[in-house]
Amino acid sequence: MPSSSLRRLVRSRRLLLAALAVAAAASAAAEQAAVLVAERGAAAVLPDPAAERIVTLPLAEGERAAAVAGDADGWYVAGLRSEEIGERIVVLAGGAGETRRLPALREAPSRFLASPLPVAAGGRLAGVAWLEGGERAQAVRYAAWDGEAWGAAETVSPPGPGSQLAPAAAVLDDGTPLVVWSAFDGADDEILWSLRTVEGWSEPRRLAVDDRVPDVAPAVAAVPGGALAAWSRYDEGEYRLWTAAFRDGRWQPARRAGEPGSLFPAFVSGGERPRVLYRTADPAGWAVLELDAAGRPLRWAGATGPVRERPVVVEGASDTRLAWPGSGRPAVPLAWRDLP
Amino acid sequence: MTRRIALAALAAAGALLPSPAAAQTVYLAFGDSITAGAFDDAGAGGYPARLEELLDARGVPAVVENHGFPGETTAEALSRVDDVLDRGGDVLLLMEGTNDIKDLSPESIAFNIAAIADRAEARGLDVVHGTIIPRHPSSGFDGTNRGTRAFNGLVREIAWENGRNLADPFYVFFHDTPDVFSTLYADNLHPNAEGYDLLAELWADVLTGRDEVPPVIGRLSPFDDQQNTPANAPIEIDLYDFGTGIAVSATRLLIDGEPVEATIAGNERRQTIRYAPPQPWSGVVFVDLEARDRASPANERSGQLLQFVVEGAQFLAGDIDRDGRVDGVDLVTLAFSFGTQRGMAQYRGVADLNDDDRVDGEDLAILASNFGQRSF
Repeated sequence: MPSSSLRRLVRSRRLLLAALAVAAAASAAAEQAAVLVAERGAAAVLPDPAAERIVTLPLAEGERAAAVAGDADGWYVAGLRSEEIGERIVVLAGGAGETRRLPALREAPSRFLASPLPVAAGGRLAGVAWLEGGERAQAVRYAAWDGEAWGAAETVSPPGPGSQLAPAAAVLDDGTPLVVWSAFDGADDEILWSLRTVEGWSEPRRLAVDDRVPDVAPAVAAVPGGALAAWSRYDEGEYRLWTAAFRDGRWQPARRAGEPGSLFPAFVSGGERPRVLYRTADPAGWAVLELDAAGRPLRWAGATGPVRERPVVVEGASDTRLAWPGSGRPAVPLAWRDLP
Repeated sequence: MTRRIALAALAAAGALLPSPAAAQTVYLAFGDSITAGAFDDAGAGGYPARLEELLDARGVPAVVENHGFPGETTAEALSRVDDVLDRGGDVLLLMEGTNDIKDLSPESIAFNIAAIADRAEARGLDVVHGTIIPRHPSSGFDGTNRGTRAFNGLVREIAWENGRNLADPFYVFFHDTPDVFSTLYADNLHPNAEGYDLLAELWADVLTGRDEVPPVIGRLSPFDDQQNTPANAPIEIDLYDFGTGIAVSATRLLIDGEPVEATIAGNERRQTIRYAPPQPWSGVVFVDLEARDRASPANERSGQLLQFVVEGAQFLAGDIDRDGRVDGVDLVTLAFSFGTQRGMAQYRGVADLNDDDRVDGEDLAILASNFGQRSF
């Protein structure tokens, strides 16, 4: 076989594997008519009226997906492409039966790019956020997408006294992008936030009180009239999930929401109320926490499972399940438990 | 300090080990999949099982229990370690953090490591720290190993401040093993069988008092590849040795290849090296460090420690990789994009030197006009 054919075969195999994963997931999630985007750990079930479709990610050699966002009207995947002198952000858009590659950001490849994150709501991409900079001095950056072209890169947060990591984002009711992330402040990691207003990005501020213990790995989601954040805090010798609600332009006092060893939350769709999917350390597995709009825990369900593979939460006609699409692992039904 | 020096001396003499006639020492190898032995293509149980054999071969009766948990972060380990410690043991071998790098700062990972080690000591166990092995360049995060290197510097500090011994796989893998990623890795995170062989040997060396590692770096300022560094920023380096100690008079700092009179304080266990520039820095600054220990033969380190770009630095057209030189690396980079235009997959703006949305002969001519020249 000529080497060029072999290379094409290798590329085709890569696409095929992604397609297989998605096909399996589509089958598992058929009850809720979902499209799954899966590639190297970035996975999400996205409600899609069209249903029954298989979505593959047309990634080229040297490209990898990092995060996905979207809803019934469209989904977006942000990733990185390695080049000889650095990395470049790539963004794919899908929905309505097609997948397309958005134009390259105007920024030149950087020697340190990480954690690209699509910021989307209502099927519309508002922009992409990412980390950029050197060791322990990353900036949080953002570029707006107007539907046809990227705006110039903006600095959400310049390099601080230490690492800035794990950005998460949401778009508020009024279309305002909100970014949260963790940042080392010279003593410990805190959760910071910033809003993109007409004057530009608001000055980064702590989301909760300065507690001198690590606060890490935030997630955020828009809710009617505001937003909810969830993250993990070192709390009595272990990490626990905490939540806070954003209302009237400010964060309400944070509250403890998870059990010891609750980590790496992500808001997921599917229920009538906000849901957080997170890892549990003991026993090792996954749990889903349903919250009210103020971030109060209402009910909980969990199951053991592989911590290296983030499941998707599948809302069936009569039950809720954790599924690991494409893995061959059976879905696990969840037993909800109301919380006091 | 007294305890630290005493412990270091004891460790160097192998005093953490019992005499051959004594009862077996129970080592608890605690960590993630790299401790568990994932991708060990020899099926030999990762480094713990090999370590037990090595210690036996060196006449040391020991049991090495494998408490690696694949996929675990240090944040999760805090919820598991008590159960492991409650089962008993003599020495905790603590090497974890690889799975945290993407989401936690090096300081928070180090915070967790310190908390785990403190719990072990509170139960009467000795603790030996391990730096984590470098990440493969194709890793999805920190492929440059800047975060990993920073975390490992903090692990060395924790070990030193608490008078604990330290195995340093990061140094040996990253700085002392040619072609490490093609020879010792099974995937982009895990060692292969040969990699686990080396890991076990490094632990065994530390536990039996063999010193094969030169002085290593703790805190470092500016950090490697820092951009926009203030022109008057001092260079500050903490240097540690966990074996025979630093040959204190042999430490030399070089700036752009020339030795400089740096202030060097400390002792054979820890030196702090500080250098304030007599004139403001400009352009790209290359910092080399030469140091060796008191082993015989000595373990030496030399070569570039870091480089940083000073604020306001202006680079020659064609210095695509911003290293201060227009050279073959820049030419290769331009050649990769030659003939492309904006929108094509291989087009890259940094090679489009005249910013006309295409990489062509005009860009090559610009680069050629500066080829061989330095930006500063």
